[in-house]
Amino acid sequence: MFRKYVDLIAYMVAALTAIIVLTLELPSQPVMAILLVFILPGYAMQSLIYDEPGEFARLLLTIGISVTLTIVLGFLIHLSPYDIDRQSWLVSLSGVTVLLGLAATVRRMVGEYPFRKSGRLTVQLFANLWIPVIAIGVLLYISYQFAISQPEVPFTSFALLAVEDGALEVSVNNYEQEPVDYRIEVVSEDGQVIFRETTGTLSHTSSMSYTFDIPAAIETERVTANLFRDGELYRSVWVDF
Amino acid sequence: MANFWAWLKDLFFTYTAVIEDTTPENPRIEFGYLSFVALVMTAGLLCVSAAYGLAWIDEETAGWLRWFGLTVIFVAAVTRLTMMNVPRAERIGIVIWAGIVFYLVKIFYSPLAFKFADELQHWRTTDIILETGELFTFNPMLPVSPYYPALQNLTVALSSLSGLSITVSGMIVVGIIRIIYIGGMYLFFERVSHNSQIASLGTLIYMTNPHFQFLNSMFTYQAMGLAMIGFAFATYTLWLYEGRPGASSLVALLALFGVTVSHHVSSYMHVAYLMFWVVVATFTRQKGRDFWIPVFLAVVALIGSFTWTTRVATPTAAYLSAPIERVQERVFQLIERPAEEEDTDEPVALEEDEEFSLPFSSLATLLIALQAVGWIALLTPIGAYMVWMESSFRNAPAMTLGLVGVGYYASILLRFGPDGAELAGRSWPFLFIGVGFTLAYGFVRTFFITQQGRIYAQSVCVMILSLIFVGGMQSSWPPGWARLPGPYLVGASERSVEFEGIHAAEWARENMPIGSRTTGTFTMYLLFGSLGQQYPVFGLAEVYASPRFGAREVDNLENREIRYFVVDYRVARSLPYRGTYFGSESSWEVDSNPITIEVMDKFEEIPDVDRIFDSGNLVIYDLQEITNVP
Repeated sequence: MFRKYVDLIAYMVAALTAIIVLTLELPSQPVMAILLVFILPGYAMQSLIYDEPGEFARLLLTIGISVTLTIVLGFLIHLSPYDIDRQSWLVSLSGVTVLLGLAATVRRMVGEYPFRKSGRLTVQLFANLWIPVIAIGVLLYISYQFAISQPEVPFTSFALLAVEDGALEVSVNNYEQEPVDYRIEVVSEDGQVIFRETTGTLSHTSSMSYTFDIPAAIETERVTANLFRDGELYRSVWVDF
Repeated sequence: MANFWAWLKDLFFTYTAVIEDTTPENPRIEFGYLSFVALVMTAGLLCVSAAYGLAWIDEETAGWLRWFGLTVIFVAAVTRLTMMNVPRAERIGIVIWAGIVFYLVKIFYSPLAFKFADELQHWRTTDIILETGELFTFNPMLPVSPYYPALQNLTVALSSLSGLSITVSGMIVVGIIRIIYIGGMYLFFERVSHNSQIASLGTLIYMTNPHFQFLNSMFTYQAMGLAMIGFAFATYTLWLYEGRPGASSLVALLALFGVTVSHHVSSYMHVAYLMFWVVVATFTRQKGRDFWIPVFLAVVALIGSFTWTTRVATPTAAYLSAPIERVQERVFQLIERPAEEEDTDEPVALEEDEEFSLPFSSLATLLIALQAVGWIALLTPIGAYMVWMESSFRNAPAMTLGLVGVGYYASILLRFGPDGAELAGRSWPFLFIGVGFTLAYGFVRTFFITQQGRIYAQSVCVMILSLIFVGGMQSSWPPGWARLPGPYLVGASERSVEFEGIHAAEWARENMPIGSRTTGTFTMYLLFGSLGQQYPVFGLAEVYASPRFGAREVDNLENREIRYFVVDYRVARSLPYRGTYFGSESSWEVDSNPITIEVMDKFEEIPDVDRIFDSGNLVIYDLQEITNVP
């Protein structure tokens, strides 16, 4: 009796776990999201429709039907009054998953079901495959490390923008691959200093921004912000009024 | 020692009899040598990845190492698949793993960001759906993309639920749909041929199509469309051969809908395949389900594609007619003008001796590509003949695949026409479904059956298929200079996308009004149009390259309502690798010299132009005061 429903019980447990994890935004959301989008709806539907297509066809149908159902659900959400967002995906995919799971269970209760021994597949696969799987995993990891070892060209970005109420914002982003001390100097057209600041030591990937007003006493048509590195002019940006 | 070898053999080769399967013809699932073959293929991937790493430091051996790695992956798979008495599960495992490994070849090219133009265009569509919560919202980079949102639906669902970025979600989505792409094709071939060796070999031969590795592995709607075609044909054959017609038809119709809304060309090719199937079924006098199921599917697919194109995806016609009109135009040009004048106005970017300047940079590489064409052209008719004779005019889907395989000749003819390279290339992912099946059928039914799996027959087969693979990869896309990642190159599409440009686009997203009309080089067009969420504008090459900034330039910018101009000083380093800095220089051609820094400095002298961003190589100018664009 139990063995007849073992896969659907596992399915329901997985579905409820996925729904709870995603609803409460618990850790492992990516794994559960992959389960809910690519596995669960399709597994239930193929259980409902096909008697015994074979293990590989079952896997294929599980993923393929999940994919097509998600595509269809996207259109249905679009046609509904709701936006396509996290909540609508969670509700629709959870609803479809639970409903199809229940339908598959009912069908199995009322119909004849060709018996399968899925449990042994899982156990023996892991018992025999762990060393080759680890070896392949190690190779994949090393491959990935090679792939991400891409040297970046160092640079610093410097920007000046007019923000609300006539204020200006100057920002600096350090991507020099090393900590850098910058000095910012903002001057008017005739060279009067409007703003001056040192950033301190800015580490790689760090940024700093400052907002300041132009003093009423200074009349100018152009404000120029200069960025100095090691005492040398490094970047220059300006805004005209 | 003997114990060690026994242990090793046990470890890699003998974990069989894992599960009792319920299908009577295959009572046990056996994985045979799968782990060993998978390990070798992964080692090939490691070589490719190492080549990518070496390419960043400009190591000359990188190109060879990449070729070695790719060959190891393919040869490992094909060697095992050409053997007799290989368990079905092992065959399936090998083709699926080969599909995944070839996908990783593309992913490891740029594992942290999408760099290909098409990917960035579809990234924008996905981003728009996430931002607006609506489908079918205008994408200025590729207006037709939002009307085929299958890929986006999946990516948005995964990204929304998981919290992962669009890029990571997209990579996962394309990886997973690759399983139904390859697996669906295998199942289709297997149900049609009733032979797992033909199915697995056919699927592997499909992977020799030049666009399999990169173009069909990208985050694009074509990848989605092909995956859905693979899955759809698998469901059609399940419906045809597995019984329970009512319930199976529901899944088949779901898959058909998936193809229709995934990608325009895939949807039309899908219809063409089904129509072809119907024609073959009619001529071979199929009866009952064998006739009515393809007829029903063809009619529904035809109505579905037509309705979707004319009622929903209305920009498709204009989008697809543009390249067709270009071809017509070129044909008329060829007819009207003497052949010797043909190349005189072609923009030539690189010096003749520039390394990797063209896909066929030497006679040798051209010959490598051509020999693959020769083998396919030679062997496909033999395979098609075998398919038709052995099926005794009863197996309509197999005969359809045989005929489609022969359609490869049409692509060869297309190749020699104007713009033929691109059109032929576009047709390969669809034609190779037939080519793969037909060649595999021919090999298995001639070499293997008649020779009883003798080693020389297998060796010849491995050699020929490996040559086809190498030739396919040689004529594949991207072009030679972009097949390895590396430092920035001028006007080189994916090789021009690097972190400074990405940072500038992301800065624009945070600090410039969304949808501002922005122009620059083709690379900036891509980055600011996608990651920057701006409205990228083509066709301002004249302003960019003009040595002065006068009334004509101002008019040009005003007419195109340009708010921001992105200047990339790196274009001064060399001529563009693609032959174009801007993607489309209709009224201005690349000169024999690169654009100079002085030319690009012209904006600095113009009053009322704000220089708002400077990252050393990239500068953003705000032209609002000049063009009066809000």
